[in-house]
Amino acid sequence: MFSKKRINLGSAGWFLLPYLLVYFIFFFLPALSIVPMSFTEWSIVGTPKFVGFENYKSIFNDRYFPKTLSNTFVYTILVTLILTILGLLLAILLNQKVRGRGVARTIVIMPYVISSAVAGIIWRWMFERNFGIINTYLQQLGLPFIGWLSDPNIALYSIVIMNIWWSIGFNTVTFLAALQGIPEELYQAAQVDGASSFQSFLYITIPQLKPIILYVTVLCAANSFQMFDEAYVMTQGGPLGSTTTLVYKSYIEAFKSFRLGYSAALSVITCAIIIIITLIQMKANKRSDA
Amino acid sequence: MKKKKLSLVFTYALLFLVTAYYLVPILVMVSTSLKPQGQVLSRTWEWIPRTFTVENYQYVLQQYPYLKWTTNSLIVTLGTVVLTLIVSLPAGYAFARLKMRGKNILFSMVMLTIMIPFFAYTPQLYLLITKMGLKNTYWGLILPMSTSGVSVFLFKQFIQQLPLDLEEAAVLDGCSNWGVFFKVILPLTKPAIVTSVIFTAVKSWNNLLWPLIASSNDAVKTLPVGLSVNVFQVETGLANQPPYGIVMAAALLSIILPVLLFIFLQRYFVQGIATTGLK
Amino acid sequence: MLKKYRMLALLLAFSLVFAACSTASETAETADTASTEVEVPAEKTTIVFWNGVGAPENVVLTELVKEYNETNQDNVYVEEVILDWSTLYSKILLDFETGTPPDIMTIQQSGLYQNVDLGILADLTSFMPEYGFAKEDFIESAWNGSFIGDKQYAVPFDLHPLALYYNVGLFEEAGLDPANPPATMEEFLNAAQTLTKDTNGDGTTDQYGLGLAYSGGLPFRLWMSLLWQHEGAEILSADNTAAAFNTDAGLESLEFLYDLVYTYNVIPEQEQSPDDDFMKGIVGMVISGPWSQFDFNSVEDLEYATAPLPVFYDQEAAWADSHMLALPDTKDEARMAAAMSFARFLSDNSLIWTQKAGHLPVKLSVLESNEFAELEKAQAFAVTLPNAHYYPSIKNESLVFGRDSNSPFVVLMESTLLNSMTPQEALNEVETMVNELLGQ
Repeated sequence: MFSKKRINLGSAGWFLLPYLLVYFIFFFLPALSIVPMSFTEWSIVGTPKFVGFENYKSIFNDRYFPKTLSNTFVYTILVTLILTILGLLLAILLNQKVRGRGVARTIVIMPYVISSAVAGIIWRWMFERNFGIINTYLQQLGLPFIGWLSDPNIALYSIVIMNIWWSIGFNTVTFLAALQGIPEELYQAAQVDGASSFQSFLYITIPQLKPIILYVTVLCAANSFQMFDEAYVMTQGGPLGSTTTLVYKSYIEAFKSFRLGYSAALSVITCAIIIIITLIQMKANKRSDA
Repeated sequence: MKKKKLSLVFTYALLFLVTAYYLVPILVMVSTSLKPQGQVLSRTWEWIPRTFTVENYQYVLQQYPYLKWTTNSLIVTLGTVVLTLIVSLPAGYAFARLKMRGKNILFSMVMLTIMIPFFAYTPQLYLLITKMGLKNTYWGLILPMSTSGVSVFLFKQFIQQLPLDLEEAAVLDGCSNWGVFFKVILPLTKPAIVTSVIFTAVKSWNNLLWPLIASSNDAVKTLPVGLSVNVFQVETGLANQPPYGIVMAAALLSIILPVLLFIFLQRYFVQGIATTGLK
Repeated sequence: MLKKYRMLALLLAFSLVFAACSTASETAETADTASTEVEVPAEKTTIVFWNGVGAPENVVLTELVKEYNETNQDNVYVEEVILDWSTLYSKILLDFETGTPPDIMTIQQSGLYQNVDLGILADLTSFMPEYGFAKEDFIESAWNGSFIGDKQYAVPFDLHPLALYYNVGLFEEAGLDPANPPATMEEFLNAAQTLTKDTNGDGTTDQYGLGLAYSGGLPFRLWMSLLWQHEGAEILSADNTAAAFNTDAGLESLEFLYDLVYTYNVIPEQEQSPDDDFMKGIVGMVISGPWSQFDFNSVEDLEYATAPLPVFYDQEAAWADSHMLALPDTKDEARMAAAMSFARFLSDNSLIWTQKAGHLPVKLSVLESNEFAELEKAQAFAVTLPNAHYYPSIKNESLVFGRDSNSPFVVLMESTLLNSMTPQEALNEVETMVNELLGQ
């Protein structure tokens, strides 16, 4: 087999150097500081005050923390599943050789290009309970108003709906690109062997796409676990804390309440959970390779 | 034959439904932007404006240095995209193909960029940038945004699954690592490069938090900052309701360039372009 | 590789074309970019001014900045930076820490204590008389509000209390007299109930008397106003160390708002955007500050008027906040002097601020002027001024009086107005929360 032994450390180093340079200066050093900061109390001005595990204790004693945690997990699982599956299906759909697919692709991508703030404003407006667009049409159909963003039991799911509209472009583009990398010959050979399109999908497309599927799910999970923009623009974490996520709370603590130590502790917890989730996904991916 | 026609119809129908779902909110935006402020909030929603007007667009373009903001955004986005490609492509290749000690540890560190919320270290980053004298400069906006491991990760995954034959052939021909990289890997990675360009560009174009903190001066103000601070307050639905007509006009204006970029790039997603190199 | 360059080249071409097309519109620009294009003579003292009042009012200040730069005799040049409140409050801390704060900035009365406590702001007590600011010239509450302890830290600029907005057209339609807006509890209830009806006969109510959101800042500010209308009632104890609102007064006020939604049904349930609903004609009245006038004025066929907040209980009272001008403590005497001159100019021109931005003036001379009397809609707010209440001044104001879903008073209103807790339960819960926060 192809031996890579002849490549030495120095060589790989040159390839990595540009990235690592930017990385260390503008990410690693600032980002690492959130760990020591989580053990302090700091309001940006003045020196941080060491408080040991106080912040962590406060977080776990906060009566709203379990809800925040569950919100975050529910949201992440839903969004990751839906966006991955839907993204892949959409990419396949948009990959079909039909006329107008260029237009269709552009339309599906367009929401992704809109900033989260504007997307949030549009949807908040459409989701308005009293005489917003969606509810107005529901009323005309004889159905009752739905409190999309004002019903504590529904608000989080409404954000999922909005997020699917907004972010699916990312997944679709990624899968589309990956689909291009699958050699046409494989499908042709399968067709000759009498495989149905569903079988082709299962036995050719999916295996070929595995690295990219992993990429998409890891990113999706990491991103949705850090959901913030939508909650900030549409619901401010409400109603009744039903759309407060870990990152949302962390942001508020940092930039509205100026408790940076507490906020850093929340970020550390968030990061730790994401690391665990990612590791699980990567392990599962390796396992299925065998 | 019948089966083929049925699946074609099915495909078209699905395509139509999907695009309808995605189009509706955009149509809402367009319709609102063409209504005069006084008619935006009518009791019943009107798809077709009672009075067509471009006054919202005129307002946005004339009242504010909209084009200056757009230019700033362009410069920053271009810079970020280029820098990201320059640093991420070799790194992705290294992680995918090259052997070195501690590679996995390094890669995990790269992945950290995806796992730590950006604002968590914004204050420290801001203090650092200020000390380096990069506050209110383009570089101050570009450099911190080029650390994302998203592209590195993408390139790693993509390159990993490329067939090894071509690389073997090149090495047997006496190509160095960099030779393999430039002559073999890069052409094959085109779809991934295009993908990376798209999402790096979009993320940079819409980036609000960092430019808001790091460069609020008029000189380098980017579009999202200008819009959110000067034009409408997106903050929260508290005291001020945003002037919807103007908001939608501003938003539509701001997505023209990214959409154009995508239209231009999406034709690269044509089957077979990645495999032509094999022949 | 070549293809990649081609992409970049095309992108560059696009941007050049775009920029070229812009020259026509650039000349039509207003003062916004003046600060980066004007030549500054060397002898002038340049100061940086942070304009954080937010859109759309910020353009009024920008115009004033431009006028100052063109006409002032103090040899000062003001460089304006436009921000929103959120960014301003975070950035001021960051920039102070790095030693690069602005020389003068807008600030809200509610944000004063916190920033003074962190040592950010300069003590202006001795400056004020030097630049002609005297207690007699100002409304008492605004003047006092600029003090922390016995030191003065800001120049009061405006005051914005809550008042009642009502739809004249809907009033007339319902048989109510627009010239006599509700001024008491009974009148208010009567008006609200009369306005609540089914306008198209389909069996469902589609017009309501009052618009009130369940979350955000406004609901709890209204509740506080009602609380303060009870004689002797306070939000916090006299030394600001404990909650004092879990009393009969607090309960009565909260139950009233609850009843408006669930007993009298004059407020739509789960309402999110009362201002929008007012503009659409869905609700006949809404309680808000002067800032809403901008939006309301832009709607065709909306004829509205303003009235002081009705007296529901024993006395007049309404929540208010103020814009003020503060100087970060740079210890640079020359620049602080320049900043005070600029502040003097802004204060002298506060009538323009009132006329164009709608916020109430705090200078008695302006309040008593003819020009101010001409501002019809502002009169209702002016009546309220002597009884305007600020939040108690506390160190962690942003924690205790925050406006996001996890903040105590938002929890209070959300739980009540969304019917997930009874008013008493909500008060108990929030009392605990506030005491915890105050104890830190």
